Amino acid sequence: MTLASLFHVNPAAPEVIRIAARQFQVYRVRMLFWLITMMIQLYLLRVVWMAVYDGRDSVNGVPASTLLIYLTISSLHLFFLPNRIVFEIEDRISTGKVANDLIRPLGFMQQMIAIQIGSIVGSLPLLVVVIPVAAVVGQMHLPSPGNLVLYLISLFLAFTISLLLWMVVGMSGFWLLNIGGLRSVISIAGDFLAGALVPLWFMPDALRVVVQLLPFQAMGFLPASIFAGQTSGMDTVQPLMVQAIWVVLLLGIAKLVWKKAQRKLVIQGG
Amino acid sequence: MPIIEAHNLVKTFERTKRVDGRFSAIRTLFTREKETKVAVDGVSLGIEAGEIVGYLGPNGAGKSTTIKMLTGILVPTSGTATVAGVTPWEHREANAMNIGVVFGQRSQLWWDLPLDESFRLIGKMYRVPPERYRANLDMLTELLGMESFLTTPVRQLSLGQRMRGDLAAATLYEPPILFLDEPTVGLDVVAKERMRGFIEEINRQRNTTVLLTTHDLDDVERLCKRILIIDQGKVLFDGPATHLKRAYAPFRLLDITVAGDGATQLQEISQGLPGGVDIVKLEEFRATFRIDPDVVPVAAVIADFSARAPVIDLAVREQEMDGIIREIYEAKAVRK
Repeated sequence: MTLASLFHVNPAAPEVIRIAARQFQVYRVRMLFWLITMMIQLYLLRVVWMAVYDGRDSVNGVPASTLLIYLTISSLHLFFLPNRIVFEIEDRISTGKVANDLIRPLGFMQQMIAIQIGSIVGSLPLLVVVIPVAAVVGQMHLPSPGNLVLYLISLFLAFTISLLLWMVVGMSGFWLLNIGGLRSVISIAGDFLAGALVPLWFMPDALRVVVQLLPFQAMGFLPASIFAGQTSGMDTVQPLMVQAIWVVLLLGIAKLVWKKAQRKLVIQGG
Repeated sequence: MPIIEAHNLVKTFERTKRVDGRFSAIRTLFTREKETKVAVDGVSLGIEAGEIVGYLGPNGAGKSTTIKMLTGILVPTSGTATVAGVTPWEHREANAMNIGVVFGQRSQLWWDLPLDESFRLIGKMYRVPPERYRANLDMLTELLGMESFLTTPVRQLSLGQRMRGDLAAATLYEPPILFLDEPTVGLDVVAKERMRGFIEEINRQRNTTVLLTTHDLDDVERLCKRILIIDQGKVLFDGPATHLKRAYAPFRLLDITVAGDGATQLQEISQGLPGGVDIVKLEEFRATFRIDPDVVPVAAVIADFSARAPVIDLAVREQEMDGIIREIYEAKAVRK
């Protein structure tokens, strides 16, 4: 598989995306509970952080309003995060349904990506509800047009990194067979390492160095920081580069893992 | 040239060996010892275009594993295979266009969607032109009697309906090759018959090559001229179904019923039997004879008996496949 083949989109892919978006409607109730959970978390973060600020306008050069916008947009990222792919792959391996994916005239990874894109497309109508709620619980303020464009680019890269990372985690199931534990650990640690609870600005230097070497900050912190206006203009070049590097790196890893996985594959349940 | 060809296909699975004794669970976690299970052990086969071949064997014999290699799902440990000129596991997507697959135990339809949505998606995936799609869907809907449940979500279908849906999904894009892994498992007699009729029809209409695994010997008797028997990963027999019958069950059974005034003639016949004919069962007006067709033609026996007694009904039966296959599984070899 060459890099070019990745951009060769199978005509069936849009159809898989459409179906996945449709199937996503089944998850509406689950999404509602997920939304409530996110908003409670956002509210608690707001309370805790405002207690830390203790009436000061700015701490470490981060204005209180910037922090609130940052926390709000981070919560939204978590809400729309492309992690359904890991559940899909997990389910397909544990039930042996992966056999069906492999007899399609469409690559396995392409199918999984199409399903993930479909589920994001399917959840987009929820933005109408989620953004106003988040704006009330947290704080919302649109960035300058320049930063908005940079943010959207960064967000796209962040979602791509997240998708690839979760795909690799999912495919580790070809060896581990049961990845529930691994998924939970990465999910919980990932939220923290992505700066969804504590922005990287407030992390001690030693921790920040470690966090900056991991892909999670590129999945959440970097775009959120641009959205909140804490990173802007030329300062965004480096974060965008870091994100681009992670995309290329994880893409390589994903392809390698898939190549190995095919020989490792066992179809469960005959 | 055969459309499906395999040479020395081998597939082994490895798993970590369980350690017995004290702290076995923890020690198992750290053991490096592997257990190797050979699922398919050097299978070679060649199937010509248009053939319907039955692939038989007891549970765990390696049937499904072979099918999974030929469909490109599994990569063999060693050996080669081509399906319509393509190595399945190397060019999965190209292979997918040439084959239709039905796993009786696992549906390929989209659970949450109405059946016709699944079909639509498959039509798009396999790039079936709209007018062909329409024509094929109409033909399949009629042939499989799917009209009444075409818009029902798959999860609400009965097993028989779902299997029909699966067969339609596998043939919608007119693949030249069909792999059917236990397509009649769990179906009632009527549903099985419908499936068999369909397979026969699609083979006749499109000259589709079919490789079929099953535990139901009626499937084989009805559909397959040729069978392959596999056990413990090795092919035990590859040849025409009639050969097995000749080797294991060369005899024909002839049932005869005579009119009310023919009881004595029937007695006389049973006392003066021609060579190659034995009596199996004798009642007042009915008898069953065993004929060895190598010694005397069945037709000659019938003609002879009809001349000597007022025969009002007769039937010629072959020995059932069932017993033959059971004998082969038990002996783990095939008689020559």
